[in-house]
Amino acid sequence: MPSYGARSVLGVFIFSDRGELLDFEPFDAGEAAQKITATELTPEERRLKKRFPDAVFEPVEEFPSPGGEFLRGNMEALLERIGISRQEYNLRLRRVAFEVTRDRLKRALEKRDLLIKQAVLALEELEEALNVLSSRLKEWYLIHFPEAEQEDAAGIAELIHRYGRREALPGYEELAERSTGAELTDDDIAMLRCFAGELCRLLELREELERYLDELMSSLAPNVRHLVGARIGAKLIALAGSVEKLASMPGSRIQVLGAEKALFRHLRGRGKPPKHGVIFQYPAIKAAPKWQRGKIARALAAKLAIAARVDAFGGGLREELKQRFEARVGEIKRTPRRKRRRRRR
Amino acid sequence: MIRELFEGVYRLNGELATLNLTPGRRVYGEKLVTHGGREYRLWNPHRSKLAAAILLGLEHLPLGRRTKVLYLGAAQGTTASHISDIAREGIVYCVEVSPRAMQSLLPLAEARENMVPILASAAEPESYCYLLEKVDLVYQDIARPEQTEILLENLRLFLRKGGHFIHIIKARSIDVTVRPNEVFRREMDKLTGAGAQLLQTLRLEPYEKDHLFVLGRFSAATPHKQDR
Repeated sequence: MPSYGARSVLGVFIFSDRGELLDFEPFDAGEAAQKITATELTPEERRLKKRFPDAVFEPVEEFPSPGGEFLRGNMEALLERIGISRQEYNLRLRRVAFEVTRDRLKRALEKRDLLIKQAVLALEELEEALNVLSSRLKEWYLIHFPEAEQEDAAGIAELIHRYGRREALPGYEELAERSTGAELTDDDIAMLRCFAGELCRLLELREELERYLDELMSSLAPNVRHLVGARIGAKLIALAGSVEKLASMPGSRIQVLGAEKALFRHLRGRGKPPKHGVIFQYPAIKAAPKWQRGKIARALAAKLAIAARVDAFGGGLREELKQRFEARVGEIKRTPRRKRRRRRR
Repeated sequence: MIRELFEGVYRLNGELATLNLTPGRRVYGEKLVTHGGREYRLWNPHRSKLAAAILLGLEHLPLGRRTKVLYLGAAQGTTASHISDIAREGIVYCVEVSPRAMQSLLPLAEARENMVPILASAAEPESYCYLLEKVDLVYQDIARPEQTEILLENLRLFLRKGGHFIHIIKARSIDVTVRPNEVFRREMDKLTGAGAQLLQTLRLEPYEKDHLFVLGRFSAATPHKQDR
């Protein structure tokens, strides 16, 4: 006789082909979330299979199956049969649903934060390359038009790409006429324009990458991003390895991420402890007088530690973190500098 | 001035509102208003298509205190939270595929005891069937070209006999090259072709462009797709 099994948060039910409950194997409440999502038959299902060799189990062996239909259509009556109250069922249901969802969420986001590291490193390397290439282009073009010395390297790429010869540059007519630069052939100019064009494409790529990184950060580390911006936040995550690793660090560690050289020099007994690593890039630290930087860095790192934990373990955006940090910066700025005591060696 | 439009849906000083299930807590920055010692959450029709449909003349809302709802595409839970206000003693199964949206939905569901969050694609019911039972209402608001097919499969599996569904057809998600009216007609044909009974349809202008709100009933023949 065919019979049909189906999973629920409580355990595995098995029905006859007319929908009568034949048997029930409960899940251990603590393991329900793993068992219910298992892609193979669970021990409970295998036990039932021994008793009902013809049984077909949903969702592993068949989906949709009459078993699931019997289960989902008669929940109230089934709960009564196995002596579980509706309240108890709802509690179990929610507990399992949260566990399953948190688990899937973790897995869905876990791998994605590897992208942050790659994107932010790609961005940094791209910027290095852009600096090198655009100053090369500029130096090259100055042979033809030395009067354009003042122009910034990125701007000049755009101009060369669009207009080419110095005579064609809008706004430079007078300078071009009196130029002391060398005359170039059409081939020379074509090469320069080609090079400049590629450089412009790379500039666009940088913008694209920045947007992408910002998007990644708002999805994976919204609190860190809110506090220090996508760029610094991504750098911290890259140095830590993942959002979760960053979250497991104390503030004091986050404070010196990116200052490893200074930190280890200090730990070997040479030199002062570093005040800040990559968070130095944060404007409020960079712009502060030297004696305040350590204090601000310490406050920021402490808030970052909280932000990373909220991001890693779920919990939406907490805007108050930034407000509190800013209030603390205000305090630091108002506190007068203490007289320096003599350093002891 | 307060008037109950449908069970649990109020018109409070001219604005739509539901009774806050979690007093003191906001979900998406909506206003909280206390009236007669009870706290209400104003329901913004620009943020929620169900609110828009109610304001545009929905005649019947198959949603009450004890209703069980399957919500496909719950996103951050804006509309789902109002449904959870109304179905206070029911269950709202919130299926959402985007991890990003689920991150916002989780704390919300934690605070609301009738919400069951499910991170899964509505197109893969085998990945969440074991959490469900038959429901009274399936609410579908997902932006996928095959949204009608997805709705129908979920109706067959999870809607009780004679239960209701609300289907929000997004013309622009289905086919941007075809005029919205044509898309609506095709999708409605699919519904009636599958045996659904359409009770009311509403265009959601001016709140949403090119959206059709469809309320209907469905009685599934028991699904017996064999050997999968």
